Amino acid sequence: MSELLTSSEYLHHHLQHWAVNVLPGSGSQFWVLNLDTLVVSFLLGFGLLFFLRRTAVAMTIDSPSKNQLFVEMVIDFVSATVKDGYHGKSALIAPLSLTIFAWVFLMNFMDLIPVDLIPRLLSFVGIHHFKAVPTADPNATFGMSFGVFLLIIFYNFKMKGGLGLGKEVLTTPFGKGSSMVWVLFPLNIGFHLMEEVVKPMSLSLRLFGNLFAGELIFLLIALLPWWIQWSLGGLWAIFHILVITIQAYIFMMLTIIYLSMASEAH
Amino acid sequence: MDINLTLFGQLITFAIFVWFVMKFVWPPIAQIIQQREDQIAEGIAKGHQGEKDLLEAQGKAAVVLQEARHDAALLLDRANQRADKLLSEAKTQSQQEAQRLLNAAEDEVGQLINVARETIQKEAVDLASGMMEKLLQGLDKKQHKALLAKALEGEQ
Repeated sequence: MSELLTSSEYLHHHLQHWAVNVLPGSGSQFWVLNLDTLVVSFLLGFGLLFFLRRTAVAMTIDSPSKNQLFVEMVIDFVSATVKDGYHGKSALIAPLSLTIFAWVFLMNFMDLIPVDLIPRLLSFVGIHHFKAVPTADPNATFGMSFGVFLLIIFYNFKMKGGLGLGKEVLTTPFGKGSSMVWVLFPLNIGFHLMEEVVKPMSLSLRLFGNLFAGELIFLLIALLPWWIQWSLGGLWAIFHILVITIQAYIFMMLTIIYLSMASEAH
Repeated sequence: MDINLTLFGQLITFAIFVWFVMKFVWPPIAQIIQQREDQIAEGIAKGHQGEKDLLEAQGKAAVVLQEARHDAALLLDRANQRADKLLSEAKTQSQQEAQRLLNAAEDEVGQLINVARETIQKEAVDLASGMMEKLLQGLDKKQHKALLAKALEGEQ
């Protein structure tokens, strides 16, 4: 990119995915794969799992390594959060929470890597568009929240049974115990649909919005003259350390709460 | 903000990651943490127990020491009493022995005195009768009578 770009060209360039359409003939944008999102998130997740597994295998009782202590700390933290939020017993919730927290944190962390570094490096090997922050791609955040959504539905059925769930959907929040409750069935169904659909939306849009905005601001800062970038860039990066951690925590926390709500009758 | 096939790619990746963590990461780590917690709790409990045992042992030692002191005092007391008793017995015995020896000596002295007296009497009688014989040989019947009468007078 030795040629000079205008500001809008620069922004536009940075907001394009490294993408491939798996069904080029269809003319539909649905068959596009954002390779940058997929590759970065997979590499981060794979590295995370590799580290966790290696630490788990090497764990000892008497002489813990620093890695072990670090992992124990994170696991204790996640464990405590799960115990506070989810009162049932489940072998899935805690590992799910750990995966969400750590993976989202790592994907968010890509935001702290200088915005031009990775795209510039990759431009040498012929990849000219690259967005390095997977969580700034709604496909990544919706992918995860959709997974959580499926789990919410699954837990609703598992914990309450088809009948219990049906009764809850039809008779709450309005008209419970009344003989004319059937009049309110459509209203209740509407409420429940809305309530459930809003959950994955709120999960993924919150994360996406925060990270996309964060990235955009880094891009805008990168448009400043080079001798002043450090001031705003440094400030925003320091602030962002907080943001990415909190966003990862919120995603985990809300997942636990949603699954807890799915497991308990209203 | 285009939603496309990437979403399902991410969903599958997510599912696999969660499955892996649930299967191969969380259980071993949770188990070790549990064991470590148990061990630490056990160590602390043992520490407390040790402290308790120490206090108990110290208490016991104090009691034993006091008993030993008490016993020693008792023994000393008894020994003193015994010594006193032995001493007083010995005193009495020696006094009695001394008295006995004194008595015996006195008896002997008495006897000796008697013997001496008898001897003296005998010698005196012999002397007297000898002298008498010698005297009587020179006296007449009259003088003899007067002398006898005088002697008898003196005897009465």
